[in-house]
Amino acid sequence: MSGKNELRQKSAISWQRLVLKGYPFLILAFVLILFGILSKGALFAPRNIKNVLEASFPYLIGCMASLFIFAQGEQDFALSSNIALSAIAAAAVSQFSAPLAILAAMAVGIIVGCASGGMYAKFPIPVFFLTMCIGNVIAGFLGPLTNYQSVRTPVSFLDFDNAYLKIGLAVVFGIITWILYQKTTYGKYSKALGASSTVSEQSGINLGKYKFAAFVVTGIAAGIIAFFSICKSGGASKATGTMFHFNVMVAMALGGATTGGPKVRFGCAVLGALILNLLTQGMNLAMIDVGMQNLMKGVLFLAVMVLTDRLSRFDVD
Amino acid sequence: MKRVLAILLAATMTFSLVACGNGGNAGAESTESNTESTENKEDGGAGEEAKDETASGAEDAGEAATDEGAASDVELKSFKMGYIDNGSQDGTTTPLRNNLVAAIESLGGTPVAAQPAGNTPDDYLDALDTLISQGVDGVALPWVSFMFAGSPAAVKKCEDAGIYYGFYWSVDCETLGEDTLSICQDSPKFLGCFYQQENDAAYAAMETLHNYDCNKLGYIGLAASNEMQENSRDYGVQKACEDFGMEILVEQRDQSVTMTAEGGATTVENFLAAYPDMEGIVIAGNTQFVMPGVAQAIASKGLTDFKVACIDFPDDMETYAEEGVLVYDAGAHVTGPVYLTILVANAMNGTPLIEKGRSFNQQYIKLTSSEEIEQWTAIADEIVYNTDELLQCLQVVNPDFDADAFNELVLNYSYNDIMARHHSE
Amino acid sequence: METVLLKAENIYKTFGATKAVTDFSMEIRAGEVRGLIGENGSGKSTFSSVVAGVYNKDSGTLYVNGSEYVPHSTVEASAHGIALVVQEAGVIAEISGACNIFLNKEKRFEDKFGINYKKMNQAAAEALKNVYSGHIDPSVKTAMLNLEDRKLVEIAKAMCDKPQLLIIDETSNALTTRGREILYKVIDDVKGYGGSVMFITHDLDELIQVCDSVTVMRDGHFVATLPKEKMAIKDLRELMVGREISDNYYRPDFEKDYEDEVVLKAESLTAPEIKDVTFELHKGEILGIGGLSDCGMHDLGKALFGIEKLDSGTVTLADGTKITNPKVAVEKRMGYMSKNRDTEAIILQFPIDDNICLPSLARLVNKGIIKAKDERELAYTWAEKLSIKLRSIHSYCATLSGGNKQKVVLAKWLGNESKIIIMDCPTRGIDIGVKEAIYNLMQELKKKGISIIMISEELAELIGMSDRIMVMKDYSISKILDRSPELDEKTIIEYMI
Repeated sequence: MSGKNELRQKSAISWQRLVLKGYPFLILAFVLILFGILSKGALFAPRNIKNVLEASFPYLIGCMASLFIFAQGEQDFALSSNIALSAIAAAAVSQFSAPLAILAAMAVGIIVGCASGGMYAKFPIPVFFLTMCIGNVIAGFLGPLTNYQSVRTPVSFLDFDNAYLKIGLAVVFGIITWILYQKTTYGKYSKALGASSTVSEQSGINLGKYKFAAFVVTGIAAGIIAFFSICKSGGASKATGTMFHFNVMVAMALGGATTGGPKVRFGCAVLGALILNLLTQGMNLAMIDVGMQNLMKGVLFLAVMVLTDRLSRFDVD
Repeated sequence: MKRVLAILLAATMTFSLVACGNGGNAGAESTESNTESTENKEDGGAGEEAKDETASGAEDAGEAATDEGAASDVELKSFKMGYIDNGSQDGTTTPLRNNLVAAIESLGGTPVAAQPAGNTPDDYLDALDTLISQGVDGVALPWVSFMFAGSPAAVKKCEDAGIYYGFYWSVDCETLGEDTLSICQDSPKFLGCFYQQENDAAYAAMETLHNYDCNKLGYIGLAASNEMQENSRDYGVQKACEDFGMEILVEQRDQSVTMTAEGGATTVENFLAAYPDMEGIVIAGNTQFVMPGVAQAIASKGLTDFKVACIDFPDDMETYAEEGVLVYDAGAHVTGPVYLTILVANAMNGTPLIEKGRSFNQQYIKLTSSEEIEQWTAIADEIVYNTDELLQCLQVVNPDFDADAFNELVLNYSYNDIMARHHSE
Repeated sequence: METVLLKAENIYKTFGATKAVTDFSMEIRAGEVRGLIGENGSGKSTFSSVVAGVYNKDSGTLYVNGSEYVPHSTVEASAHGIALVVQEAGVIAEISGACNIFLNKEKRFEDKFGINYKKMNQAAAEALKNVYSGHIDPSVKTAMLNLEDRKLVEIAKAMCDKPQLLIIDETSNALTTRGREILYKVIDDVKGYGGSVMFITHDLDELIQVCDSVTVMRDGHFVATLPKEKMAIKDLRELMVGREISDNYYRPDFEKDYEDEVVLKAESLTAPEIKDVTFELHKGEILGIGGLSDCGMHDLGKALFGIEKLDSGTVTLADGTKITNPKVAVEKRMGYMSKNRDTEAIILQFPIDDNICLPSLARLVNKGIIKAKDERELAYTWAEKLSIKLRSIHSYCATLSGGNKQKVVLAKWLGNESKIIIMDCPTRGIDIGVKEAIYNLMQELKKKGISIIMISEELAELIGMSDRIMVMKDYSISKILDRSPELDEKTIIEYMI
């Protein structure tokens, strides 16, 4: 009787751990099957797959760069405003040259990242609060800065809005981020910090340095995303990048990163970005209106959070 | 595992129901994919739309007989016409949507809608991507949602996809700018720009307020351009100020404020707090969002001599007119997409009306008194062009319909024209 | 002592693949004080947590007063008259003592204006008085209290509703002599009103003094229940470990065998809880630091490693480096084993190998990259050397017993080739088997020239292992005593109080 009990316990635990570890793949399969059917197969058309990959570009960059912050158990709520400001800076100098625009975007992105990271490293202010405030400060002066209108870019910039260029860049960025996250102290210390800052400090880790570095990485990502945003839409305004940080949060949750520390794996970023955009594209093709789309994304996000919370007690290894 | 599968299946069923429910509302694709005869379309057009109910009996007898005879022999090419639907339900977007869907279906096409996630040019570009990925043959684009920054990208996408496209709620072609024109001006796919005489409409609004002795005004409008265009609402307002000695005391151009009724109410309160001697307001943008709040704020302060002039029709326009608040409105410029559909349908049937894109002067319906507002409201929900009239705009049905006839059709749009066509006795 | 208060039948509890409790049965009678002992990882804390509603059992049955008892939470357990006092922190630091005592029972003090905190404070003061802790102000935030007083607040919380069964899980570790006296009085009070106590401790002397009987667990299984008259330390040890254990596992030698070379110099160290402390540490020396728990020795340990900031004074190594923060300390091959093992020494939700490699990662970098092979090599080497009992090197540290966790902490610092290790209460909450292993290891390290500063509240340990003992009192050094066979606890206590 007890042997049978033990076997049943082992099996019961197995499916729960399987779901906990593999739920992003389950969601991916669910999205592909459901919206494949609802769109009558249009989702799998080469053009739409290309659209999904292209639309995933900013989220792949954003999610991969955010790994370090997520590993530390934090999030960058200033990311959206950073993208807007970087895009406006890039658009403002785009009349002179594309390289200058790229530099401007990266410089502004990094400066904002440094400001966020510096304050996070120096002051004991909760990051949520800190980055929300920084984001609001930036958003506040973007309107008057641009006189509430778009800053345009030359039409030649449209040439950079190339799917293959973006996909290639995402792959390169992914390789670099993977190396940094998996194979260097940047990633390993970020995970340790997220798991326990006390133990990390007592293990000789310079907490300030790695807190700062995490935000510099998102600053770089903001610059890249900003540049390609102005190439795509022909300009930048205070509305550029709206809700981007929220979508990154949802994407990371869908990809399996609901808590910080070692559970934030590299795959979470890639999978999450792809799932989010497949979901959006699928819902568009299935003619689901935007209000309902947001509702469904919200429900899915909540379901993931509840699921991972309920199953986390089975994650003992 | 069984539990997980059960949940997945239940969720699949739920989402399917939601999608089916929304697919119909958003102008879902028709199941017909082959060419169809105009005879079928006539039957469908007369019976299916409740919106047509007041218009059906008013055709000219002679023309109708000839049309019916010719139409029944022609097989129309089917096509998909895309449009961007932001989901609003108001006095401007509802008639635009209804007229467009009716026109597409009347001409043998299938309407395909895409909803933008937000109000930025990026969101509209993404919606355009969705339309293109759904295989549309032509698309009607609201220029005002792309503006100068986003239109080059929009045009490039359409050119790369090889689809017909044109702008409504637009500036004229010359004003589109070198960036956009360099891509589209010689393209046979570019159908042109349907623009309004914005300066005239705004000038007339200001003149009406002046006639009501309201010369110190607040202004609610869209973001200012770096360079004021001559055919712009701002230009019309400025000219009227010069000509009539009027003054704009303060402006509110922040879109995040003027996109809501609450923002409208707050704006009026702030205006009046800062300028107690203000006599009226001219609303030159986002009227459909902001007007309820503006009207409510004015009513709550009991300002009976305070007048409002608008461009674009809000919901409940007649109520504001009855209350004496609204004294002028210019709007109902909702037929631009219909005209684009006519151009696309002609092109798809092998008889393009124009060789390359041009500017078309889309008329406003200008209402300068509460009586005129009431008269318009009585017919506002009607479809402007019924199926028969639309079919007569196809060269394959009516060989006499050429570019000049099309231009005339566009210029003739007015309250009197609709009355003559649908309500003559 | 006739009625059976608690009966456990065939209790099973697993965590993943770890079988914490297997087919465990026992009975406790009303008015009985039952000891529950076993090595780390024997399942005693798990079983007590199941009884207290912290965990749900996998199978088996519990009965309280003859009725089946299935607690889904500590709230339900409390409703059945079962209260638990835990080993680690069991109070919420950011709220007052009164709020902690009446947590989830605030409704008792509700009036039409909300919670009447004055009444709550009064009731809390009464509850504290009942556990002989009237010196504690219940209105003060618990974070302001020292560790012992926090534990007394927790005891007051457990006792406020006169539980039928009071479970004490290795609480006495965190208490001073005075605290322990209070605890024993509370146990007597429980017996007095007919309640029972389940008392978990590693201190066998204490066990024999306090308990009426003892149940021994090993590897999650029941081994034996012995009445008071059969409780002998040697027998208990052997039942716990399953083999013969010698009485003496401390160093047998008494000669001075450390070098004269000074590896660390502390000069005039001053901080809020350190007053002008000056001493030197020699190569291959075990320097013991002892005193009352609030004498400043734990803060001194942190200050030596650079965790606590000093107001004045310097900690200097042989090469002249001043230790100002842990980063510098680690770079200079110092290690620090905190007494708060689970919260400061290891990351429970991190794999074992990652914990072991954490301080060494900077050293393992090769052309900017850390190779997984190098990490694995380091982790496996030290896991084997220290005989860490684990299922997999990638398992989370949370799955390890206390003793094995401590070995991971040690592996961490040895893996970083530490030459100076500060150990704060290195054998706290550890069973005798692992204790013996750690003492042996300390002697081996000493022979290799590694210097150890051992901060301990156990006098026997200080006397048994240290080359010199630095006794602290009121934040400063009271006396430094050399190792000798004549040195006894009485002598040290004279300098402590």
